[in-house]
Amino acid sequence: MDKISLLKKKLEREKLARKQAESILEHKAYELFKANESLRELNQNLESEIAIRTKSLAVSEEQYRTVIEKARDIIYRIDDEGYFLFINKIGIKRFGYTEEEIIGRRYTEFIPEEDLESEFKYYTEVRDSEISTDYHEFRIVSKSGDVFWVGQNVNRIIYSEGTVYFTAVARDITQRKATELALAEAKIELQKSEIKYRSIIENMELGLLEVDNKGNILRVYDRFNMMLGYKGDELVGKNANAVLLVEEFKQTIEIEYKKRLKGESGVYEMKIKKKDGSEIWVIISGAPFYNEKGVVIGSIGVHYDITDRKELQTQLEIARSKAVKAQQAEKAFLANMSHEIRTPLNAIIGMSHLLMDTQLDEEQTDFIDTLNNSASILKTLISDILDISKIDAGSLEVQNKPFDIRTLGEKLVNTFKKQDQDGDVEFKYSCDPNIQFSLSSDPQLINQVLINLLGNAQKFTSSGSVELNIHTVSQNLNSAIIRFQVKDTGIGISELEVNQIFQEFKQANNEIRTKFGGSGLGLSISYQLVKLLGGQLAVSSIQDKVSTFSFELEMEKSEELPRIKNKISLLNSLNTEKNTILIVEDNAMNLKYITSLFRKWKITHHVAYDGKEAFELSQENDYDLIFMDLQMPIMGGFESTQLIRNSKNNNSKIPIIALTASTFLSKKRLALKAGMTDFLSKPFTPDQLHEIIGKYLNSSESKIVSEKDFAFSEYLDSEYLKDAYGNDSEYALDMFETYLEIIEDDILLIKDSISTNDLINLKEQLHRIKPTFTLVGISKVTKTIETIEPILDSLTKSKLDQWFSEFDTFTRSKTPLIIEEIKRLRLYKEGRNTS
Amino acid sequence: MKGIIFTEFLEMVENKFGYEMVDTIIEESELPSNGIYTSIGTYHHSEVVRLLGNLSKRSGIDSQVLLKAFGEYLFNAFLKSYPQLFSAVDNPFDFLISIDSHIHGEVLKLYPDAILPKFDTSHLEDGSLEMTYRSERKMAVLAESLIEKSIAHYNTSHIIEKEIISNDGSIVKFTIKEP
Repeated sequence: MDKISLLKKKLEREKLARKQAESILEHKAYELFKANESLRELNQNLESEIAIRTKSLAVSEEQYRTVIEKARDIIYRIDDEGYFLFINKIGIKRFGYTEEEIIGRRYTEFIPEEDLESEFKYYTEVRDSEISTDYHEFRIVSKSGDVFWVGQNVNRIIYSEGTVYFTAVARDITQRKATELALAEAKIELQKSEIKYRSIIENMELGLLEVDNKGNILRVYDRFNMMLGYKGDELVGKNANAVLLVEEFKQTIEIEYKKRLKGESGVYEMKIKKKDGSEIWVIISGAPFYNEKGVVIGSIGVHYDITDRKELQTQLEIARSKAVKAQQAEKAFLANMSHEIRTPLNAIIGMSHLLMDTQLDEEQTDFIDTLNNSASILKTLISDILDISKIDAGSLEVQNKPFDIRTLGEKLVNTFKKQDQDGDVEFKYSCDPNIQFSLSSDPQLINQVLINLLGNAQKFTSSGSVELNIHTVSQNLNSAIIRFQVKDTGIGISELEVNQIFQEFKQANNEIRTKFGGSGLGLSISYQLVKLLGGQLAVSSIQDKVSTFSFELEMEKSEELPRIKNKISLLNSLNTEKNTILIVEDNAMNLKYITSLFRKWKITHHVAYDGKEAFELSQENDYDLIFMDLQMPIMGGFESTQLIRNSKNNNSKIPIIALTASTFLSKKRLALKAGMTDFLSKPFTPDQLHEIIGKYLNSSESKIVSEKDFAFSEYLDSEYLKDAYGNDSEYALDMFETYLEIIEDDILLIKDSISTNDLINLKEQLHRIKPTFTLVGISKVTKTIETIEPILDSLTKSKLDQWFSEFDTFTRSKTPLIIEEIKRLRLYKEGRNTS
Repeated sequence: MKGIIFTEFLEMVENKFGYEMVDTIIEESELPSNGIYTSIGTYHHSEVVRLLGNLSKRSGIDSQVLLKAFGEYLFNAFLKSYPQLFSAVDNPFDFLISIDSHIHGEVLKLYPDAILPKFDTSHLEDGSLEMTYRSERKMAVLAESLIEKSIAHYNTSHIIEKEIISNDGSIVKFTIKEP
């Protein structure tokens, strides 16, 4: 091969090598570019990351700064020597310095001088210890000199180079500290006062004992030990119930323990055991005590020895019991005596009544009058004594029934007028015309009081007047307060006498007793009776001139009309010819009194002398009524009544009337319990006996009579009229006639009042006339008035005129009916009288 | 100008006219680089102008014809050295667009100091592609030759219309369209 070919080949190879090298270089350059490129990208990423982080750091720093600045707590940083590096706004404000005045200054400059030593010690300890956080409370003095408390949480921060800082968050706790201090002071005060009172109680002979909820003794005070003969802590740890409790008080103490657990205190008396086994009486005041959570953990008992007092109490109890027995004996004696006296007295009065019916000459009549009067006085005296003992025993029965107070007063005064026809005393009576309603109370008791007062007045008035005044004090829809006044122009009563006038057996003086007589019980009884009725009897007087006795009673108004009894019609209607009455009485004089009256009244009767005989007779004969004495030999009235009631014959259902001198309520109850029907108190007048016979024996015939009852016109309120008047047609006639007499005038008066527009008078007239219409059976008119009464003031004149026109027309339209009814009533009356 | 232009040019001269011609034009051109080139180097573009001028003088062939022939030669060299650039697309339009948008970018990664011609492309409504050549080297003929070879490479029958925008030849607009 020539040289040129070789060189060409070599050149060719060199050329290819160059191309290879170029290709490799290009490839490497590309890789370099890529590497550069990713480095650049990385760099870019890093830069943006840094930018983001820088920004968020700035945000978070801003947030922290805001938090610190706006925090309500004081935040500050100090170095390890205690120099301020930072303090937030609230800190600056609270310290009272400017920021420049605080930064760079040492903490000791803000602490009160007296705290410096302790605070320096604390600071040094924290700095030199390994504690990273700590809480501490201390005082700071502000620029203005205020001292305030802060509670500080401090963090110890160590930087990498070894520098130590403290960052603290402090809160103003001045107020809390003040409260704590006050509490602490209060606690000390409390302890002081506790000690004080404990020593006082200890000195007051009060034994204190503290127990837990189970009764285990926690603490014993000296006085308690002394009381029971123990010493020191001998009792502590023992159970009070085991050591001290007396068996009979187990239940008491259980109840008290339950109360303590509920937080209740209690005062109770019981016996407790002394160390020597003897017992003493104590009064215990027990109260629960609590732990700090408010849970009852035991109780404290204050014991006071009342053994002496208890003994005295026992003796007093014995004495009282003796006194009560004596009083009971006295009452029994009184009741017994009244029976003993009344029975013969009954006979005396009865016999004198019978004697009056015989042929007597003038002298004999005089004797019997005196006899009768003396017996009556004696009866009054006995009644007075009995009344007093009944009132004392609380056994007086107070009734509540409707009555007409006007009539009651009127009758009373009339009676006195009649009795005193020859005297120089004028009896006057006035009653409030507004009392147009009946009232509910005990008319008998009121009657008795007024009789006493009027009798008393009469006794001490030789000339002048005695007045009974009844008037309304106030009233409402349901009730009225009525004042009763008895006034005389007698000898009067001295101031001293006024004070003791209502005492039993007290008469003004001996002179009066001698001159005027009397038991001295009358006013006392009156006083007690008024009290029973709910009032108070009062007296006022001007010596030698005027005496006034008065009382007020509140009474219910009653719709019901008082029943008007007509004795004459009852007596007339008594028809006993077919009846047989059994009298059971052991007292010969009483028996004679009754049988004489029965003979006079032509009543068939049998006589038994004791309960046994009465029963035997009842088995053989048919009776219509039995009068039965209660206290009899062989067999008493109660037992006999029970036998008769339990037997199987006609007499088992007939009325049996108890006859007894006892007016005690208890006896009456016993009698009714034994099966007796009613009660007749000895002594009784012939009228009383007659009345009770009429009451029971007429009942069977009253039905026949009732068929013949007057039938009221059906155009009137016939049902009401029948109820109101019953078979007392005379009373009805009286009312109807009165209506006709007054009605014309009353209507004219109303008319006048309306035309002159005199509402006050109109009201009074309407109110007065209102019940009248009901009583004649035209209650519709009453209702018309009742409807208009409350609205009178609001009515116009024309409305009032219209109402009157209707009222007048309607009322007049009824007049013919009333006239017709009067005619029929008169005819009926004549018919009855002739039959 | 990139070294590959010089190495490929001299190679084409050597292949067509023999190394003697290569030596002659290097000697006559009095080049600052003394005619020593590597494809990865960068040389002043006046050197190729001088070499082309002297070749034209020596061979008696018009420089534009020579330049056009060089374009064809250069295209083959590119195809040989960077086949991945051609296989990434399947038609001449996409390839021509990728010169400015991708290939020249890649070149700049390797040779950040390279001065490259600018090809702005835009699609026209009739479906043709407008491609504007901008270069101070004023070698639009070389470009035209490369465009033709590209069309030939993807076996399409597009035709090229040329419009001189700037008289000095620094801006030339090519429109490549369906025949």
